[in-house]
Amino acid sequence: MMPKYQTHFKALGTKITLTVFSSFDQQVFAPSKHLIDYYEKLFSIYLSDSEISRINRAAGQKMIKVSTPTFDLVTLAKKISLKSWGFNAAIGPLVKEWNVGFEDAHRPDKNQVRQLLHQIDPQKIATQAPNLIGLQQTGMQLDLGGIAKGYIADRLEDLWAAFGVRTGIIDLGGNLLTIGNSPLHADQKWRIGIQDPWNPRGKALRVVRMPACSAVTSGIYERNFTENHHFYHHILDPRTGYPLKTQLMGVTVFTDQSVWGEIESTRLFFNPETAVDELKKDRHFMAAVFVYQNHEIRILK
Amino acid sequence: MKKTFIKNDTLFFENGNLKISELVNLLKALPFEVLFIDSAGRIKLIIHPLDPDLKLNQRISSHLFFKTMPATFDFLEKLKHGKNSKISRALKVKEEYYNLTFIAIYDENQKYLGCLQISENITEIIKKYRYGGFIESEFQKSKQPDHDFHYHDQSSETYRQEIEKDLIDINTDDDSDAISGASEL
Repeated sequence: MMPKYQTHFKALGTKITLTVFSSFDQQVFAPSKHLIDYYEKLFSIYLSDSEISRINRAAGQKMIKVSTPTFDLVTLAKKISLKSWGFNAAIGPLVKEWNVGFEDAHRPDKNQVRQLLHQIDPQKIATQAPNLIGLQQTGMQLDLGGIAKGYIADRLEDLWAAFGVRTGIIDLGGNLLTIGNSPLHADQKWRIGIQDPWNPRGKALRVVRMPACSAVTSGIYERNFTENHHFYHHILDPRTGYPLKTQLMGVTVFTDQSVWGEIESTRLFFNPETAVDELKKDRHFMAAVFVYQNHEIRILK
Repeated sequence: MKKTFIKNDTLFFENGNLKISELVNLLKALPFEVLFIDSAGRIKLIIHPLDPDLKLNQRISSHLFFKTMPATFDFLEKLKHGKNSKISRALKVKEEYYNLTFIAIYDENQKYLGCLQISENITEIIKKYRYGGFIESEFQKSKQPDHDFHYHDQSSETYRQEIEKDLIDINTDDDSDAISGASEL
């Protein structure tokens, strides 16, 4: 049996698992952790001195000079937000108000939601090379939660390549990136499980055989709450300010880059009927598996 | 071996003949860069240059690939001294992949005249195969693989779809190596 070397730690508000298949490759664990810490300190909205928090505090006042990773990620996030695929990098005020996933999660007053909808316009994210980011309206807040882990996973892949790691698994709390050929199976493909939404974490509903790829899931079964017999989840619709009305439980998207997995999984969660030809235009999309609340499963490839 | 000769405007080879105009058109149609580097290391023929700064009679040592791949000098020496008659290498320059083949050219007395350097940009081919990963593994090999690429234009999109259809199996009964799920937070 192929030996497996793993490290587990908490970061990015979730459980990280890194897997390599040679003892020598374990040398990449420590620099990987440092890299994740570095990006968390740049992108987190929960760390008051992160670059994103500094941008948010300066909303409506001034532009902030940021590092190149922050500039690149915000620039990409703005570009994707303007496509109106569902992802909105300026959704921060609504996310903070709903606070889904935390103990004080609650349904905000409808007037408050209406007011906050005026503070989430991605057009008002200002980017100016080199490395200046600003929010043009007071109260605006960036939230890169829907894209940052993908970006970080891709940078970890670069780091692993620099260390000569040819095969492994980067698992950032369910956001997977498999590297190289799988040494675990004769056909060198990976077996990627899709979390069963109705069972405890770690139980797969389906297992997909894939070459090296990223697997990112957008789903409503992890972060949600019930109030007055109503179910509310964390995927907020930037058009209404309320959790997206959906028949989906989750969608898992397979792409060649993890950041595109994040983008496409949100896009498909909002628009499950997106034509496969449309998805394949950008050449990142490989396949998707939809899991519906009525337990139906649909495959797109 | 029948000698190659020219009569009027026709080149007579061992296995056929070509008019010079046909040879010119044939060379123009090649889907890759061809250089002829003489025994002194000077470029004597350029067809479809990948590097626009390439000049006739320029020393190969100032060529893009020479700078990118220090082993080129070693290859030329091996060809010149008869240690190899053909050497092939794949390399990456910025984000583009190339396959380079050096072929020694000798005269009828086996005197080394120089070599052909054939450089093909295979980035598109790599993209077509990347989901299978097997081309990537070819790049990792230290020995020279005999690349047998298809040059005719296969519509990249349909071709990619065919490859993916073959590679992605959604309904396997195997145990998973890892599980993708919605983020806990």
